[in-house]
Amino acid sequence: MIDDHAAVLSAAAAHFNFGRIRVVSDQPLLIETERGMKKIRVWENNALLKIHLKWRERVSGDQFLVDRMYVTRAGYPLVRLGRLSVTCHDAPSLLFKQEGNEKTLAQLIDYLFQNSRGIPAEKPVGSYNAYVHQLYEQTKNSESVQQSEIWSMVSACFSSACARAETADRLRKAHHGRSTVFLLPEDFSYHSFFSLFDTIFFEIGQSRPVNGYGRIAAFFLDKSLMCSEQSMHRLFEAVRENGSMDREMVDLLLAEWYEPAEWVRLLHYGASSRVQDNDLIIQEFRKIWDRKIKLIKVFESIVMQP
Amino acid sequence: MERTASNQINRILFYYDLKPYNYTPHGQLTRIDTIAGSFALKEKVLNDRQIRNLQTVYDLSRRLVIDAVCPLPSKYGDLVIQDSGSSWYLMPWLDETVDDSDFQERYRHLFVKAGQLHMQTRGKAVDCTSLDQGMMRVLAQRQRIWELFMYQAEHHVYPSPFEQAVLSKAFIYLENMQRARNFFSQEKNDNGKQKTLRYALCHGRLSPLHLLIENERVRLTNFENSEDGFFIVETATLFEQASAMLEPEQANWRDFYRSYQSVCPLSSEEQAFLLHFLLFPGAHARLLDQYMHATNQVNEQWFVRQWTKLCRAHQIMYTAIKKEIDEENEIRAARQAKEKSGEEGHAEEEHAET
Repeated sequence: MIDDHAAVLSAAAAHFNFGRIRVVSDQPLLIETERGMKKIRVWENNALLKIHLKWRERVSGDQFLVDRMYVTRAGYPLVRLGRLSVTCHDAPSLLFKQEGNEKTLAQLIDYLFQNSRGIPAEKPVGSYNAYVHQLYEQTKNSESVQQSEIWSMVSACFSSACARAETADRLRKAHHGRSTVFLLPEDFSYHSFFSLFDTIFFEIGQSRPVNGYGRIAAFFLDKSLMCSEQSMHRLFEAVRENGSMDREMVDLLLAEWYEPAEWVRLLHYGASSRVQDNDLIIQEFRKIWDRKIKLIKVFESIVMQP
Repeated sequence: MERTASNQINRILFYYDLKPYNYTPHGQLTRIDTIAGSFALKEKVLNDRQIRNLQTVYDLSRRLVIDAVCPLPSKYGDLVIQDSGSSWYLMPWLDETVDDSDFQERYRHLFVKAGQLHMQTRGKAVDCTSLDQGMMRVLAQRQRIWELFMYQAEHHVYPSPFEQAVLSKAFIYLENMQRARNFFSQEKNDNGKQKTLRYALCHGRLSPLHLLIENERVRLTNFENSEDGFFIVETATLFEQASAMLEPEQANWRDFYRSYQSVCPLSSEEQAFLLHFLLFPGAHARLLDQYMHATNQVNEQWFVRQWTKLCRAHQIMYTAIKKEIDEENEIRAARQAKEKSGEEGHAEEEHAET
């Protein structure tokens, strides 16, 4: 790998025309050059690289910046290095401040809804309700779970979890069979956004493209936990004002929040004998469960307004 | 997030990894000074087709087929940057050594550069029936303007000074238009063959201001409307444009023609096309149309002055080019006759020997 590392740096310097290179970090590989800080990505999976090249082509627009591949002196977006491919990207450092900039963020989300579409890497989920039932039936007969505090909570919320799973299934059912779906990187988070010259620099990164509704729902949930309630209201209002959220988007986003994934996580904790702090886990579960219900209400009251 | 003009420029320059220490507006351009050199940033609304045209010319220029000032590629390989609904491109900054207003000098270079562009990209001669049909439509349109003007002028009890000036020359132009109509309506050339003309890359907007002159280095720029076409149309349009732009006595038309012809020799069919195209100038028809549609108080003096200038410039240009082509054809005919007599003499000698 050390040889690979040296070869990668030497290839980057030669093909991307950098005069001097200083390695700032190895993971991710950040280099300082006379043209600023750059991120070097090494790809072992060429099929994934091809998907990313096309994805960036679709997502690049005139409103936002995206971590596109630099072209080499010969005009190619990558350097072949044996079985590996090397790409070079911008590496901005200033994270995008979401509080107060909800309108810009909503515009980007709207733009991604419209343009970041394709075939996701993972297979579509089946009935979540059936999964919840199956999981509960399988686990409840185990003796170890019966006495635990976590299991009491799991049992108490079972019927609600089923109801939520059923709603999620119902919302998704209407939109099954679409050839392309909204895509986001698997590691999508608020760390994917940077501020650059009055706009957002969106980092697609290097991970698989997955169903974007799950990622964006998790992003909204994280944001609601981190930011003020007013900020969340402003973001949903800005999303509504953009006016491009169609029925499919609304249903699939709601389905992600209805899906009781936190209950499934709690069930797994309940089944595990290694869990130490029951209170903390239950507290965390309650926080997410309640927050999701609140988020659904706020979203429906703002975005689904006639 | 409020967007500022300075950050917009910085955002565009981010595509090139450039950090400006100074930028100044220069007409339609912005001069950008960086430690890597000076650049010209241009904002323009371009459609996909125009961007593709720029890419074609960039590829030709990179392969040294043509000498052009093209947009520089960004770090992502784009020639044109799209930002906030507009298109931007960056070019090297050239300190021009010929003033923008020196049209005489600029046209002198322009004819050479146009000839080089056409010569370097020219293809085989192809059937030009569709072009002739297009010319007939243009001619018909201009004839209609003339007829309408004549109809109105002849029905005035006292024709205006401008109308009198036009009427005095009308018979020449109407006859010329008829000659052009006869030419473009012929399906075959003088040898009885299908009429053909050559294709080449045409700039699309040749103008003395789309030429960058820095000392000895002269290059064409603004290629967004370029496309393959019958290049003689562009050449003929350039002559017509120059005759409307330059003062009648200012231009040396024979030099212009020779400089073009020396880098891109025209075939006899292209020469015939050029001469017939120049018989129905667009500037004259546009002036008549402008006069007819003038809503406010018409400045007769201005119209008369423009008309006199156009007619004089056109006459001088047409006569000079015609004379040049006739002389060329005479020399060619004399050379061919000499070669033919030489061949015959040689054949007779061979015959006598046998």
